Amino acid sequence: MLKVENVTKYYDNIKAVDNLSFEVKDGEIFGLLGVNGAGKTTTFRMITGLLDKTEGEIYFNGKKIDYNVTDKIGFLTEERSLLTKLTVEEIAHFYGGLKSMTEEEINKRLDYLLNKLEITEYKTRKIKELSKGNQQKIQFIMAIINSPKLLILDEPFSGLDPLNIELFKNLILELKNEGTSIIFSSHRMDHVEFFCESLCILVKGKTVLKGNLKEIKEKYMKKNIIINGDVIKEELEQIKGVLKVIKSANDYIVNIENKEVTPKVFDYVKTKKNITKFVVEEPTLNEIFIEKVGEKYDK
Amino acid sequence: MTNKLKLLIKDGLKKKINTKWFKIVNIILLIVIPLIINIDNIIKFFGGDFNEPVNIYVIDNTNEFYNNLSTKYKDMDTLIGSSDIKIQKAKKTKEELTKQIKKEESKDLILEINNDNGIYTASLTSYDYVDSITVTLLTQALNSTKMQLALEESDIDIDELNEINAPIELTRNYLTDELDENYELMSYISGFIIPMFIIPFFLLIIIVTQMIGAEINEEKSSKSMEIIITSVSPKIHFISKIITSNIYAILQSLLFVLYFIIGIFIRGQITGTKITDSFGTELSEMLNTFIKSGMLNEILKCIPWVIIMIILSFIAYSLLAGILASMTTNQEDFQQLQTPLMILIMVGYFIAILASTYEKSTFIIILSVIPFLSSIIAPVLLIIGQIGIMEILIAIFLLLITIYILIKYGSRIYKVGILNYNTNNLWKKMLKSLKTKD
Repeated sequence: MLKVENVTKYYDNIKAVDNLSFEVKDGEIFGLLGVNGAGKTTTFRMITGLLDKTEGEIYFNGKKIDYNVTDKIGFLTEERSLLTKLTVEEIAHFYGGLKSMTEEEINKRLDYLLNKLEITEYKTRKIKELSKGNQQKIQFIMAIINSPKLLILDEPFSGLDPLNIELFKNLILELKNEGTSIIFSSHRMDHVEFFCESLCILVKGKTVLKGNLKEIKEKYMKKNIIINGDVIKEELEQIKGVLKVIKSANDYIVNIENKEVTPKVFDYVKTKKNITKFVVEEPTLNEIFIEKVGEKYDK
Repeated sequence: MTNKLKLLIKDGLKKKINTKWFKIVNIILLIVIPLIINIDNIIKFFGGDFNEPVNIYVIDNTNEFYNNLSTKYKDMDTLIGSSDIKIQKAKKTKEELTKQIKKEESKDLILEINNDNGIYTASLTSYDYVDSITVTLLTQALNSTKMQLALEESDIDIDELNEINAPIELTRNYLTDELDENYELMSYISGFIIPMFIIPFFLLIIIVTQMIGAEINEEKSSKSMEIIITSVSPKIHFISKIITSNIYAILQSLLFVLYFIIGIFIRGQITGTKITDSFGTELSEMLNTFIKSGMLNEILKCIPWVIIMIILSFIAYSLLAGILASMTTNQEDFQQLQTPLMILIMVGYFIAILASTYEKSTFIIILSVIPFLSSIIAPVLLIIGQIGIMEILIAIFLLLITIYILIKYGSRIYKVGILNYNTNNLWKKMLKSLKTKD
C-alpha cells in the first residue's frame, strides 16, 4: 500500500505541491488528475525518489521509499524514456537488470509481455525503428517488466489506437488483479472513469477534490431527470421540489432541487402511459473536472 | 547496489564498444598506425626519383683533392643519414659527362676543382636544382680539404698534423656536485619526449570528456535518465559514468599500443629495420647515448608517479565533464560548456611545451601543482627533471583534494542537474544544490 502523507514540495519560492495526502491500497487504481503544471509529475518524481520532498513523507508497505524499495516500482513517464539505439531485448535486459532481475526472469517476462501486446516480432529490432505506438508499447513493457507492486502510469495511452488501448487496459487490469497498486494519470477522463475507484484532482499543487469516484459523482449529481412519454409539463411543475421543466424536441428535462425529489417524480411518471425514457442524469468526470478546475482558476 | 553499478558499467562499455563507429575507427587506426610506422619503406617501395642514386663526378685537376675530399664528404653524409649520393672520380671528360647528364636529364653532378696559380677554385655543374644540404656538405668538405692540404704543405710532421686535425674534446666542469652532463641531453630529448607523452594524453582526455557529455546528454534528452534514476541513486549513476569512460580510455590506449607494436613487428619482419632507422643517424645515436647514459633508468623511476598523475587526472577531468554535462539540456549546450575545460587542457599543453625553453621557471613549477593544469605539466616536468618527488606529491595531494570536492559537491549538482530541463537560473539552481544533503 502506498501512503502519501502531507507532502509539500517547493521549487525556490514556488509551491509545486501543497500538503498532498492520499493512499493507494493493494490492487487499487488511483487517479491523480490535474491540468499541465498542476504538480502531478513532481508528485510522481517524489514517489519514485527522483526528487526530495520539502515536507511530509511517503511510505510504501509501511516503509519510507528509498533505493531498497524502488525495485518494486514501475514508472511509465508521459514522454518517451527509451534508449532508442538499443534493441527491445537489450533495453529489457538493461531496465530489468536495474530492477535486480535475473537474465532468465527478464527473458521469461519479456516474452510474455511481447506476446500479450502482440509485438513478438520486434524483440530484436532497435527502438528507433519502431512506430510511435509500438514504442509506447515497449515503454509500457519496460515499466512493468519487474511485475511491480506499485505502478505509476502517466498518460499510458498516448499515441495508441483503440485496439491497442484495449490491449493495455487488459494488462492494467491483470496487474490490478495481481495486487499491484496503480496510480493513473490521464487527461482522458473516460479512461480515468473506467479504471479508478478513487482519485485526487490537483490545481496548482493544491488538492481541490479527493475521494471515492462513486461518492464524488453522487455529490456532484446533476439535478436533472430526462423523461420521454405522455407527461404534462404543468403537472410536473406542481411536484414539490421540482424547480423547472423544459420541453426539448423529444424529451422533458426536469430540474429538481435534490435527489430526494427523484422518487416523487418517478411516482408521478408511473401513472402515465407510453413512458420510454426515465434517466436520472449523472455528471461525467469530465464535467466534474472542468467544474472543479475552472472553479479554482476563477478564484 | 554494487551489482547495479557493475551492470551500469558493463552496459555502458558494451554500448560504446558495440557501436559501428568504435569498430570503424579502430579498423582505420589498425591500418593507419602500422602504415605511419612503415611510411619510409612504403614510400621507397612505390619508387620515385629519390631512389635514383646521385653520382658526384669529381674532376680533380689539382690531383691533390679527391682522396681527402671524398673521405670527408662520405663522413659528413653518413652523419646526416643520407646514403643515396656516391662521390667518385670522373673517368670521362667534362664535356662527355655534360653531354651524358643532359641526355639522360640525370641528377648527377660534376664537381671540377682547379688550381690557378696557387688559388683553388671549384665549380659544380648540374642539369637541375641541387638540394642545399648537398651543396653545403660539398662546400664544407672542399674547405676542410683545402685546410688539410695547406697544413700538409707546411713542415709539420705527421703526428703533429694528426693532432691538429683531431677534434677538440670539450671537457665539462660543473660547480654543483650532483650535476651530470648527460642531463643536458634532456633538453634535446625533451623536445622529442614531450609531444610523445602529451599528444596521446591530450587526445584521450578530450575523448573521455566528450564521451561522458554525449552519454549523459543522450540519457537526459531521451528521458531514460528518469527511469534509470528510479532504480539507482544519482551518485551511483555518476560514478558508473566516470568508471566506464576511464575503462574505455584505458582500453583505447591499450589498442593504440597494440597497433604500434603491430607496426613495429611488421617493420622488423618485412624490412628488418628498426623504428629508429627512420629518425636519422644523429637522433638514433643520441637515443643510444641517452639509453646508455642511465637516463632511461631515471625516467623509468618516474613512471609510477606519472601513472598515478594520469589516472587521477582522468578521474578529475571525467568528474568535471560529468557535472557540466548534467547541467546542460542538449549536446550543443555541453559543447559550449566544455570550452573552459578544453582551455584548461590547452593551457597545460602549451605550458608543458614551454617548460623545456623556460627551464626551472618558478611560474611553471607553481602551475605544475595546480589541479587540472598539473595533469600534463607535472608529469612532463618530472620526466625532464625540472621537478622532484616533493612537487609531484604536492600535485597528487591537491588533485586528490579536488577529486574529493568534486565527488562530494559535484554529485549534488549532478542529482539536480540530470532532472533539470530548463536552462533558466541554471547557476542559481546549481549553487542551491550545493546546500542540499547527499
